[in-house]
Parts: sequence; C-alpha cells; structure tokens
Amino acid sequence: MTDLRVFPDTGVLVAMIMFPRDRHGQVSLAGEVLQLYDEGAFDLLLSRVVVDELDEVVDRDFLEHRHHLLAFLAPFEDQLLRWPTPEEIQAVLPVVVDADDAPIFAAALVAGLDIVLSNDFQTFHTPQAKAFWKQHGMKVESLYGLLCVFGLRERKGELPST
Amino acid sequence: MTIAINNIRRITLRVPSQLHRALTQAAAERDVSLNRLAVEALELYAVQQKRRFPLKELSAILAPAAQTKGLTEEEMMRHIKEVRRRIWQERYRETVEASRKAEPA
Repeated sequence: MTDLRVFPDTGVLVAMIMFPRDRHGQVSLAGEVLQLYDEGAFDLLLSRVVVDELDEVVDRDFLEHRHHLLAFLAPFEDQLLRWPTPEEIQAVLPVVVDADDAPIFAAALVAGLDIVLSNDFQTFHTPQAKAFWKQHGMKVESLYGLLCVFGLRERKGELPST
Repeated sequence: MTIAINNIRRITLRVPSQLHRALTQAAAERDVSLNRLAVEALELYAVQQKRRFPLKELSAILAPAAQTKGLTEEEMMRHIKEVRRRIWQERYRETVEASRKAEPA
C-alpha cells in the first residue's frame, strides 16, 4: 500500500519528529508511524500551511536548530502543497470549530489525499468534520487509527478479522 | 547524535583546492570541523536521493533537543494552537474576510 496519501496536521508532524518515544523511552504511536513512513509504507503530503506552523514552532522553541529544518526541507520545496486561496479557506469556514483551523482544512482539501492524520479530536474528528472529509472522498485517522489501517493495531470495539 | 565508533567508516575524497578552501571557510564560519560539515552535506544528499521528507533525520536532532528542554507533547500542542491563531490573524483573516465580502449576495 505504498501509494496511500496521508496528510498530517501540524500536531502529528511535531509528535512524529519530536516525540517518537514516550517519557519512559518506549516507542510512541508517533514513533511507530514515523518508522512506517521511513519504510515507505505511505506517502506524506506536506502542505505549506503545515510547514509554516512547524517552522514557527521550531523558531519559537528550537531556534538553534531551525537551520536544520530549513536545510532539510529546502530540497523538497517542489513537493510542498500550495497555500489555499482565500476563497478556498472561506469555503470551509462553516465546517471548522475555530476559524484559525480553516487554512489547514482548506489545505487538506486541495491536496487530493486519502487520509487526514490528526490526533486533535476536537477539531478534525468532530461529526461535522468527519462528514466533510467523507463528502470529499477522504477519511480522518488518529495515529492509532493509521496503525489500524496497516493492521498493526485493532480498532477498539471491533472484533479481530479472521 | 552519538554514533558508535564501530559504525564509522572512513572515505577519502580528492577535491579541487578551490572547493576545499570554500568548505574550510564554511566550516570555520559555523565553528564545526571540516569532517562534520562534509558529513552533513553527504547526509543531505542521501536524504535528497530518497525523495522522502527527512523526518527521521530531523527527529534525530529535534527529539533529543525537546527532551533536553523538558518540553512535553501537551505543551507543544498548545504552542501549535497559539502559532495557528497568530498566523490566522496575521496572514489569512483579512484576505478571507475580504473574499467573503466580495462574493455576490
């Protein structure tokens, strides 16, 4: 399943990069997903909206390492998804809880993706948001949910497939 | 990033003197060894060849930094929300509202 296109929100991207292990040193869910990506299990679609936020967060908390982020991402400029237009952002405003999440929703919409990956349940997993993703041929998964997609976890409340 | 000595391999490069001078100068400006600079350049090349976002390589740098700073995932998620709000206000809000007003009634 190497052509599965996954769009991470900034939260899971930060979790994958900065918290691949939990406080006890065990591989976290984000770490498992990072490993899957590194093995080529799926494609990541990175939006400029998400990269902007990542850059701001690194600039704020890891200023001394920002040059690494910029140097590592520079060769991939052509792979980053474009910023959504004001009209595209405006179109998703009725779906979002907070207006400031609208650029991320709009960026996901222009990406042509399979899965929105987010652990922000109050924003990306609301019934309204889920209906929106479904309407546009996508679905939203958490880090745990993505591991379920690859058969590495079982959906809670589901019987294991035989 | 610590790499065990037995995981180190040596390569010898022959480079034009002009390139050597430029690399030496760049290393001095960044206060790193010429070896460190060359390793970083080669890592970057390897990443580019993979054409996959170098998240694992970034993680090797930023995860220890987050640990050293004692940052938790919850704090980082809060920072993201704050950054998102500021970006919305500074970059998007005005143009999105303008596009809404420009729509025919």
